[in-house]
Amino acid sequence: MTDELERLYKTTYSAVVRFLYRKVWDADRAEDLAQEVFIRAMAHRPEKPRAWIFAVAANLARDEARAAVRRKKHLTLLTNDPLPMSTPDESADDQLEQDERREQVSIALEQLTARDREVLLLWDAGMSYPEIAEQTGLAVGAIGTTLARARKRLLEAYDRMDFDGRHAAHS
Amino acid sequence: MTEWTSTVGMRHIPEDELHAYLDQALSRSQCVEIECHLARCRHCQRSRDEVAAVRDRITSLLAAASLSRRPSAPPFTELVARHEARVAAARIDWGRVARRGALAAGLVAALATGWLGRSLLFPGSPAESLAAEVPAAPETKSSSVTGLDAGRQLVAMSDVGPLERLANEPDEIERVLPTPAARAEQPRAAAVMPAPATGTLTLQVASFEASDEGPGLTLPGLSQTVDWYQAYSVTGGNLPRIDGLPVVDVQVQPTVGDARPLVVVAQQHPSGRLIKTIEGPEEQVSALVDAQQNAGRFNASTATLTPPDYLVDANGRTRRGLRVAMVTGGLPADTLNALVKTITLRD
Repeated sequence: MTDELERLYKTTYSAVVRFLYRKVWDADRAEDLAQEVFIRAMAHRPEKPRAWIFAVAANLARDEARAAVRRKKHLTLLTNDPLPMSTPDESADDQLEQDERREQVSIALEQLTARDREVLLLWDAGMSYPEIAEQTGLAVGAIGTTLARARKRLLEAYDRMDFDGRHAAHS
Repeated sequence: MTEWTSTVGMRHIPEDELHAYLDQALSRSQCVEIECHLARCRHCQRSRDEVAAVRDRITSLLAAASLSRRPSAPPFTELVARHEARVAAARIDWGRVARRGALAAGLVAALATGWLGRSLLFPGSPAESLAAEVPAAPETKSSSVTGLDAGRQLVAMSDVGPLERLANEPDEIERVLPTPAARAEQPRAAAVMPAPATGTLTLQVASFEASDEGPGLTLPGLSQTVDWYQAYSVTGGNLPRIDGLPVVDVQVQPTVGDARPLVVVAQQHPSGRLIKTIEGPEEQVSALVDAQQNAGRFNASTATLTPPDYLVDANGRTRRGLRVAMVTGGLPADTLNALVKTITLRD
């Protein structure tokens, strides 16, 4: 079991982190959660570890989102903290562009329904149609339809933002 | 395979099946059927190219929405070690706790016997008047005790139970909580058995109420004051404190289910005042601090997040339980807010 989990860890850790990152949008947190998922798998010894790992990762990410909402009740924003100073250069411009694109994709992803987004992210994490169906409760035959719709809507949402952004820049 | 749509007398492949085909999610026979059709249908060839382009763009977009750095997987052995440490921490040696309680109870019984004998021999002695002020010990499984164990102090141990149950039993809380008069006597009882100094992290016998802090933070009833190492074991190594300040007292209160206990660590601030760091499930910390703040007892800092609990519900689904830490005490809120940022949780 441990050997199987170790193999799975080596082959899917990055995919789990990526999957979580697109839900929590924090690289360190995504890695923390991914490691937590694998540690929990050691205790639970699931029959289908791969499907279990993504299912638990999805649950943890969901709880993380809920916690973030509740956290607002308690935490005060430290607006006076000094921002790190950096000198603008070419790599900084690239980074800025990359960050903007990431931001746009995250916003576009948020415009999908929860189910479409889940199916799309699970597919991108390398899960098969039957695995996605098992995790989401959809019929295997419905995964293609859901993916087709999710892809289309993600592109539409992204292109709309891209167009609006360019339009705003030229006006 | 579903029935393909028909236009101009020729069936075409539905878009979702093209997605499934390109995702390699179809059976071999389905693939053969689609490939045969594609070979003679330009309309479906165009559709396939469009779907392929959509897939490529989606892959590219999702790649852009990925981490800016490559995930750095720690060695698997590190995760195994963390898992084993967690399992070990979960095994609370309640038998040891009970044995310590029994030892301490025995010491108290011996003291009480001597005290009673002295009061009989010397009626009207200070011991008798002191006994008259102290209310009878509550009828609990292990009553409140004062004792000494292996150079560390097990100051007081009361009955332990879930916070929720207590909330519904106000009379029980009133009965179990020591009265102000009893609290006032605690330093005198502690003075009977002075503690050897064994380092700043070791619990020192001192009562919160012995200082000028007023009644201070009171856990609602069933808490236990434990030594540092015991608390370290019970909490799985998550003991909140502010480095550099002497620890005066550690209280632990079990929580419901798999959640780690609620912990209150009292430390002495350089100003001479006591500050208490409370760490536990968010709802319980908030409820505790709100209730006592409403009573005008002290100021409290903002909350800072601490490692969450991972809980398994009745359906076997895991969820995270949010935990927070707050610093309370008779200091200005700004001072407490500064202190809360310096909390150390683990060694």
